[in-house]
Amino acid sequence: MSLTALALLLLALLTPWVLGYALLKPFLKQRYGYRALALGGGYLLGWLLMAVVLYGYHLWQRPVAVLEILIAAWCAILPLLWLKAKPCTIEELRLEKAPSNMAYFLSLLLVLLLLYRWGVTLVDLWFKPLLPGDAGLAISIVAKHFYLQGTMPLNLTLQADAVEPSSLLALIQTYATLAWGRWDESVIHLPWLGVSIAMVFAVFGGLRYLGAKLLPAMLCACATVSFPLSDAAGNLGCSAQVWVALALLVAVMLWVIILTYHEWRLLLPLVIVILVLCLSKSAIALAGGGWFSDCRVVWIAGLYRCGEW
Amino acid sequence: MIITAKVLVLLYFACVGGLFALFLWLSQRPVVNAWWAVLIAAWLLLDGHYLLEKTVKSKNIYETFAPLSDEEKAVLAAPQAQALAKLIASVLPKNQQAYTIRVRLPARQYTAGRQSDATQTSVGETLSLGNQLRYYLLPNQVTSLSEKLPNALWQQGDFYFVDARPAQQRLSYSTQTQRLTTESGLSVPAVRVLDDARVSIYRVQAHQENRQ
Repeated sequence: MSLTALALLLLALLTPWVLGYALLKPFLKQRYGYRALALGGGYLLGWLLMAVVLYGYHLWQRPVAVLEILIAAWCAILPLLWLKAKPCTIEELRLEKAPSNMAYFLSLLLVLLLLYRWGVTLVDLWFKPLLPGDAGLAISIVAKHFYLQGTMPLNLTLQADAVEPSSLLALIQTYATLAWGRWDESVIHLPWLGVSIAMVFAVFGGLRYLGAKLLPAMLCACATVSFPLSDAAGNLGCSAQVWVALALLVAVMLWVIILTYHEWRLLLPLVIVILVLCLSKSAIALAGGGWFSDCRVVWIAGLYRCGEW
Repeated sequence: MIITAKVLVLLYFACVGGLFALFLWLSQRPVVNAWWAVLIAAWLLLDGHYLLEKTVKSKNIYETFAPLSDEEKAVLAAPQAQALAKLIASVLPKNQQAYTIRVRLPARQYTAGRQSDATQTSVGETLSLGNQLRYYLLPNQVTSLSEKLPNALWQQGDFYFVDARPAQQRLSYSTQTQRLTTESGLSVPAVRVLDDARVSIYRVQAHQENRQ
């Protein structure tokens, strides 16, 4: 593993995230937590764009060149970063008192807990092989085919009872391995760690945007990726589940924000997130929908308390 | 420094106990409801316990898989599929061409107990084996057959056919005429390239003159 390859991989994985952040930010107002919300929701938008670009290469039958994609992406990102979120009045901002030192301290503890969880998950993802029971195996087949042949496989299965894997998720894995330079079962899972991080940003940012104080928003964000609400590290082995969970969370959150603040321009990102969900429809079948109720519990708890603490 | 399980347990209780104390203290302040503080502490307790288990599992995963390559990991994770994939790959011509391979997997097993549960498990296992073969044999295009292969595809030919069922349940093959008889009675020209206790592999020829 050379440092150059690792740096290119990290840059390639961060690029869609920054791109999504830069795209989503102008749709938001400068309320509390808007940056975190843009980081959480932007992850989905960025990867969707990357998948569309890769699919374009497939349609035009051009060999995929990651450097070419990265240069084009950053040419788009730099001007987009100049676009700022819309300013809002003090009444709209609902100015709050600065959180107490204790709130900061407990939030810091929760951040440390999250970092520890992600560290453990990273060890899992990096070293664990693709297991026979993984729902993500079907997705990896499409991804590996694209990586080796440069095209999406057709007629993958003859079995009526088999679930066709989501091409969107497969393209994400293909992109990661293309950036790495060779097919590697450790690398294909890294984007799903990003999903977990994006989920925390999305819940924290969303609740802060809706008026929650620092500590309750942080608690809800931690709960989203923690046991017993979610076997987060275990689920990360199953890419479909975390991806669908993030898309559902962002969709619900944008919808609640639109209804609460009447920020209708957020309908456009919402439609894109729904498009992501449609493109991941086979992943929804794989995930089984168990996540939906889990996320709802966190949301109800978060929204219920956000105005009171 | 090596972190042993005992140290982890101590750390776990220290962290969770500290957090619990903090939340109890916080609950005495007028701004936070005591019931919420207790609920959150209980959640942190569960989560801490889970994280501890996860840490031990991750340590085991690191020790087991860290020194291995992807292929060696696959041998540990899915020995049956990996062995079958290697066997099939060994009979394919050594060039860069991608071949079509159709694998006839073992029939679904029905075990004692509730039939619906047994069926689901068995179907899951069959699909899983098929998926693993597809993955390991890429870029060849592998399709696993849990149902009969349509006659049109048999007649079209030009693929490798892998019969992975037990020897007595396999399709019949005549070495004299070099023809393989399918489940529906169709006879197609094929060359048997491997036949052992685990699997029979045929090269089904591409042609138009198959006869019933």
